[in-house]
This record gives sequence, structure tokens and C-alpha cells, in this order.
Amino acid sequence: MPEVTHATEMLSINHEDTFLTTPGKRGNMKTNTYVQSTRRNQSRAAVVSLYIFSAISLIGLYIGSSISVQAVTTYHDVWLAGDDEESQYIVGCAITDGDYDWEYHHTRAEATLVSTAGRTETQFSEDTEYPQQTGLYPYALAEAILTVDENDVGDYHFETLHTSTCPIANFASVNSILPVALFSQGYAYNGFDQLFQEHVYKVNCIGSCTASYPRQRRYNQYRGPFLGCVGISVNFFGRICAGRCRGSDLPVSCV
Amino acid sequence: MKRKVFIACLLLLVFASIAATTSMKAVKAPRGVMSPFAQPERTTIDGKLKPEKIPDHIAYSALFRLIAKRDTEAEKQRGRAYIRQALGCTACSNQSKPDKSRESEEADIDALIAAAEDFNQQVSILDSRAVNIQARYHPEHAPLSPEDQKQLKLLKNEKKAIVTSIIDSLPRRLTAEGFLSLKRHIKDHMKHRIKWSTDQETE
Repeated sequence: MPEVTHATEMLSINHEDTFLTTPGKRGNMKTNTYVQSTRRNQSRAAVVSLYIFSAISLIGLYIGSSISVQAVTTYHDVWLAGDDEESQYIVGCAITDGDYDWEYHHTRAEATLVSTAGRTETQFSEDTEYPQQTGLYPYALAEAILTVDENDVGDYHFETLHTSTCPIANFASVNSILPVALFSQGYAYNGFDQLFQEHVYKVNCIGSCTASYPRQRRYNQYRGPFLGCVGISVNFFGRICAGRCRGSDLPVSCV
Repeated sequence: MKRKVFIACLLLLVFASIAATTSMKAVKAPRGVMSPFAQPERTTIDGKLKPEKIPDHIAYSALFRLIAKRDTEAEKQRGRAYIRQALGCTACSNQSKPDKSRESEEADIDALIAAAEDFNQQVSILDSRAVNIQARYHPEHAPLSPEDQKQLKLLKNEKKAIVTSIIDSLPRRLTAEGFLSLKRHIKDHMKHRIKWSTDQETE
């Protein structure tokens, strides 16, 4: 039956051909059904229904094919910076690398840091597009910064948003009916933008300072995790914690 | 007749379901001309779940992107702070081991920045070539010609070769301890924070 062929074409992803030929086939059928029995009418109705069904399926395939995953690499991280104890700050970084993808050449990154007390810092990368307009390159980097505040300790949140898209291509009509949450694990999908979103980067610290610190301060009394120890390289990336151990290059114990 | 129509409906339903399922995941591109509606099959790897599936060249690319092209003093300081913590992991894994000397640490930081700048110098040329190809198809997004498709693939491979070559040079650039710390940082830290979607054919 033509409908089955139709479906087969659809599966072979000849979207444009099958989509355009659908009305023509329906027109041909009309000329062949001038005088019909009731059963024939029922049959024709069923066939017409099948065509409609096929058309819907084709639209579904069209949409599906235009939302396939694009080549992109994303990375996010958090670390402590600032040599001076009094001017230390937390850096949250988001990187989106378009990886020479053809269609989705417009990369963006957003980085948002939120402290326990609610201090919030959001930074957007400068949008990168083709060099004729901006002179930039197909990757984006955003860094949000929050100063370390002794009165603002506790869990901090770091949230990043990475997009890789074409901002001008007119896929808007398809966009409005695209499904949300295409990906299952921590990904969200927003129209033709490819959107990787880490909703809340909840911090769990695993380090602690030893009791041998010469300048134990009230922060050592804090039972929660620590931010890391000033002057000592501790692999505390991605973990922004409460409290600080200060003033020593003594070794720390990292669990 | 009814039965035939019913069977036809059933068949169509099955095909439509398969089509919908297939299209929701990815669509295999036909060989040759690539249209906007048929793109290469891509998979997304979440490093948090499968860090071992993130290749070294992808992780190091992200590292070099992060470190390179820091122009202002504040940007440089932030970059150095990142590297300092990345290379400092050895000290916390073994308390009995003395801390690296400050000079050695600073030398490793400088060496890694130099490697990242090498990456940037070479890869930015590829970046420009890639975006020039992209620009030709924008905003109409006409089907990508086989030649340009091939070019983009070549650029990806060239980028991979550059990154691999710089990775290979790191043992000569860094101290042994610094290199080990960096490797550990890439494996145990960075790869867990990378999400990578890719056309497997090119990897």
C-alpha cells in the first residue's frame, strides 16, 4: 500500500520528497473514487486517515531530526583565588566549546555563583560568532567571582548555562512545539538552542584542617566542611565550603 | 477490506513509533550532502557518570581554553590560582611528603601557561578557518557541501593532533611531580565536570 511505502520513505529520512508528494498522491486517489459503495467510502476514509497519520508522523520526524545533538564540549569549575587572605575570592568558570559544529556556531556560557547569604554574581561570556562580525572564536568562557566573606559562610551554589546555537536561522516555527527535557541526565532542551544546564551545583566538601594549625580561629569550630587552607594547594575544586583555616603552610589532611 | 485497512493502520503505527523514537535520539546523516534536517549521529557523554569516556584531548582542550588568552592582570591571577590548585594535589595526598618549593611550583605554572598559549596560537588559526566555513552558510543554512563537510572534519582532526602533540610535550615542560599532579587533575577532577557531545565518526 502506498501508505506503507510512505512510512518507509519517512524512515529513510527523505523528508523533503515525501512531504511534498503527499498532497499529489491524495489528489490522484480522488479521481479514482468517483462512484463508490459504503464500504469503499469507509475504506477511503480510512486511507485518508492514514495519510493524515503519515503527515503527522512526517512532521514528528522533521522535528526530531532538527533537534539532534550538536557537537559541543562544556566544562565548569570553581576555585579559590587571591594571595592575600583579606582579598580572597571564589571563581566559578563555565566554558562552552562549539567544536567546529556547522550549524550551531554561536556559543555562550553563563556562570552564576550564589553565597549562603544570597550574594549572587552572574557573568555572561561575550557571545562568539563568526569573525566577520565580532572577530571572536567558536568557544565561550564566563567567570563569576564572589569575595570570601567571613560573615557569609556555608554552602555556596554554582550554576552554569552553556548554549550552542544559531541565533538567526529561522527554525522558530519548529521551535514552539519541540519537547522539553530531551535528555535525561541533567540536561534540558530549549527549542533549537542546545542547552546544557547544571541546575544547582551543590557543594560537598571532603577536606578538613588538622588541629595543628597555629592560628585556630572560630572557623575551626565550624562542624561543616572547609573552604580550603590558605597558602596550601589543596584540591578543593568545585567544592565551596564553609569556614577557612588560616595562616600556615602546614600540611592539611584531605580525606 | 476492513481487516487490510486495520493491518495497514497497525503497520503504520509501528513505523511511526519507530520513526519518532529514532528522531528523538539522533538521525543518521546520509553520506555525501548534509542537509539541515539530517545531521550526523551524535552521542552525549556526561563525565560525571562516565569520566573514562572523555578523551584526553577533549579534557586538555578545555584546560587550555581556560588558561590561555588571559590578558588583564586579574584574569592572569585567576588562571594562576586555578593551575596552582590543579598542580598542588600531590601535597594533600601524602602528608609526609614535603611541599613543593615555591619556585618549582611557579615554574610549573609558567610552563603550563606557555603550553596553553601554544595551543591557542595554533588552534586559533583552525578556529578562524572553521568559523569562516560556518559563516558562508549563515543565516540561510543551506546544505553543507561535501567539501566543506570534509574540511570541518579535517579541522577537528588537526585540532586533535595539535592538542595531542602538546600533551606529549608536557613531561618535558613540567617537573615530574607537576606532570603527575596535572594528569591526576585531568583524570580525577576535570573529566568529571565535562559534558561532551560528539559525532563518533570523527573521534
